[in-house]
Amino acid sequence: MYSEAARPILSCAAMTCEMDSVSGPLQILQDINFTLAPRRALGIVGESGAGKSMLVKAIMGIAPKGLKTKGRIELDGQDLLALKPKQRAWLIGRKVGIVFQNPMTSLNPFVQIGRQIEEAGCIHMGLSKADARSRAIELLSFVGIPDPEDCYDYYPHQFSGGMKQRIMIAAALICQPDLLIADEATTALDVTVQKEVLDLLQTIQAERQMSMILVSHNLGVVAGRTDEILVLYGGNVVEYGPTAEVFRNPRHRYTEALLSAMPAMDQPAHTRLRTIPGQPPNLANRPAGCPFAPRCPSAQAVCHEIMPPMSAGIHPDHRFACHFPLAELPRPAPQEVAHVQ
Amino acid sequence: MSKLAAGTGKGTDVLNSAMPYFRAISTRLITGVLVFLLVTFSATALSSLAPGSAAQLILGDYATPEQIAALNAQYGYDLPVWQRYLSWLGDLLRGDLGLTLFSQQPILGVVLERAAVTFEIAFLAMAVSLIGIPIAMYTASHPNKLADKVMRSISTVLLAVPTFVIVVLFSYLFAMVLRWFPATGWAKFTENPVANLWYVALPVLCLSMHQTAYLYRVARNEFVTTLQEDYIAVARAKGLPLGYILFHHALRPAMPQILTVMGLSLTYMLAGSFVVESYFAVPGIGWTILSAVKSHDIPLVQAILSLTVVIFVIVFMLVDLGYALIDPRVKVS
Repeated sequence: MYSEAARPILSCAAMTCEMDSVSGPLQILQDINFTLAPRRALGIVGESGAGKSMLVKAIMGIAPKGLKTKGRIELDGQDLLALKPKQRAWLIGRKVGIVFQNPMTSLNPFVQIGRQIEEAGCIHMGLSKADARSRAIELLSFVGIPDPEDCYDYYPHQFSGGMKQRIMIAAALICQPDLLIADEATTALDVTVQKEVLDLLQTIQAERQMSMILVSHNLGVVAGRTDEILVLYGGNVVEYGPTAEVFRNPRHRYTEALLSAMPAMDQPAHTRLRTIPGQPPNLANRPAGCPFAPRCPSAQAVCHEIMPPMSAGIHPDHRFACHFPLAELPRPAPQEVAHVQ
Repeated sequence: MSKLAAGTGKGTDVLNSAMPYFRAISTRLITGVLVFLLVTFSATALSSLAPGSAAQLILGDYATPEQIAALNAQYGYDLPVWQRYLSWLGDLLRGDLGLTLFSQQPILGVVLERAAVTFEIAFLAMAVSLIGIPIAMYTASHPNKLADKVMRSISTVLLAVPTFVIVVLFSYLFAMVLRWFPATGWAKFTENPVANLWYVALPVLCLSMHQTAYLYRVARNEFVTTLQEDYIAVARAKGLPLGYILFHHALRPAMPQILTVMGLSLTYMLAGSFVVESYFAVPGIGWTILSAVKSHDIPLVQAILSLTVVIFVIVFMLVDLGYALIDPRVKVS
C-alpha cells in the first residue's frame, strides 16, 4: 500500500483459506489483502479465533493438513502458492524468520540450543561447523544471553521462558532473513519480560533493516512498534491502515470496540473496561453479511445481509469494511500522532 | 591462558557429569541384588510347596524311602527352606551349583552354555526387529498414505498371529517349500559360525516377527505424537528437509518409549523363547527349562530362574541409564 519504489517483501492478494470439517467447509480466512514493504512493520491483531495464526501458518506453508489456500502470496516477488512444497519451504526458511507463541514448547528439549540456532544456517547457507558456531554465539550475545560460549552447549530446560524466546529469536535470525514474523511471541511471557522481548524485536528490526510482522491479540503490543496494522475479525480484514491513523481514528466499529476494551493510563482507578458482548462467529455457519454484525451495536438490516466492501478513509492508505463507519476525525497536526501505551 | 582454563574446566565437567552415572549404577545394583535375593529365595521355597516332599516329587510315586533319604542327603530337601537357601547361595558364590539331576552335568556350565545360545538368538532377533524403527519413521511422516496403511495392517496381523503359528508357517515355507533354511538342528558358533547362522536364521526370524510388529507400532505412534510437537513446526518453518527433521528432531524424543519396548522385548525373548526353541530343537534356555520342569529337575530350574532375574535386572538398569543418556532433562540419581 505504500507506493515506494521498492518491491514489497510480502504481499497477499485475495487470499482465502478453507478447511473441510464434519460440519462442512470452514471459511477460515476470506479475501485477505495486504502488502508489506521492506523495513516496515505490520501488526496483525484480532481476538482468539480471528485467524491470525492461521494467516501466518498459511503464509509459511506450515498450516495443518487439509487447509486449502487460494489467492496469491508473494514473498520477495515470488508466488509462494505456485512453488512446490519443498522449494517453498526452502525459500521461506531462507528469507523468513519466525518466532512462535510458546517458547516452552518451541525449542526441542533434546537438542542443544546452539545446534537449534545454527541448523537453518547450515542447511540454507551452507555454513561450515565453525562458522555456524561462531555466528550462533554472536547471535546469542546479540539477543542478550549472558555467557553465550557456554550457553551454546546448554539444553532448553536450562533457560527461563524469556531466555528461551530470546534463543528462538536468535534462531530466527541465523539466515539473515528479510522478514521476521513474531506470532504472539510474547503472549506466554511475564509482562516485564514481554516488554524486554518486544523492545528487542524492535531493536533488531531497526538494526538489521528487516520487515517485521507482529501478530498479537494485544493492541498495546502493536501500538508503538508497527507502521501498519491489520485488524482481523472472523477471518476477514475489517480495518487496515497506518497504525497511528487507525489508533487515532478507528473507523470500523470492531476496531473501536477493541480499542476501548483496552485500559488507558489516564482512566481513574477501578474504571470498568468495556467488553464486546457475544461470541466470535462460528466459521462453519458464518453470517452472510458483516461478520461483526451480530455483536455490533450499530448494525442495521443491511449489515446482516451484505458483506461491506473495503472503503477508503481520508488517509489514502486507511481502509475499512463497514456499512456505517464511525465519523472521520479531522486530520491531526503531525506532532499529535497517537502513540498509545 | 583462558583456553587452558577452559580445557581443565571441560575435564572436571566430564568427571562431574560421569559421577551421577556411577552413583546411579551402584544404587540400581543394590536394588538389583535385593530383587535377586527375593526371587531366588522364592524359587527355593517353591519346591517346598510341592505336594509331599521335593524328593518325592523328583523320584515319582514308586520311590522307596531309602531312595528318598539318599536324595535328601544329597540335595538337602528335608532341611528348612532358609537353610537350603543359604547353602544354595554359598554354592553360587563358590561357582558350583552341583550337578543336574539326570544328565549329571555341572549345572552352572549347562546353564551358561544354553544361555549363550538364547542370547545369540535374542540379540539377533532384536537386531532384525530394529527395522521397524525406520519404517515407523517413514510411515509416521506420511500418515494415512498407502505405505502407512499397508504397514499398519501387516503389523496388526503379525501381532494377532501367535508365535506357535508363525513357527509352523515359517518352517513350512522356508524349510519345506523353499528349502532355504534347515527346519531343525544346531551348530555351535565357536565351531562353525556359518552353519550356526544358517541354523539360527529361522528361529531368529520367527522370534523377531512379533517384536518387529510391536516395535513398529510403538515407534510409529511415538513419531506421530512427536511430529505434532511445536518444535517440529518450528523446524518445518525453518525450511529444514524432512529427513533432517526426522533424524535430528524426532528420533531422540521418540527414543525413551522405543527403548522401554526394546528392553521389555529383550527380556521377553530371553525368558520366553521356549516355543521357538523347542520347535526348532535349539539347545537354548527356553528349551532347557521346559525339559527341566518336565523332568522335575529342581536344581536346574532354580539356576535358570536365577539367571533370568539377573538378566531382567541388568536390562532394566541399562534401560534406565539409557533414558538419562537420551533425555537431557532426566537427572540420574
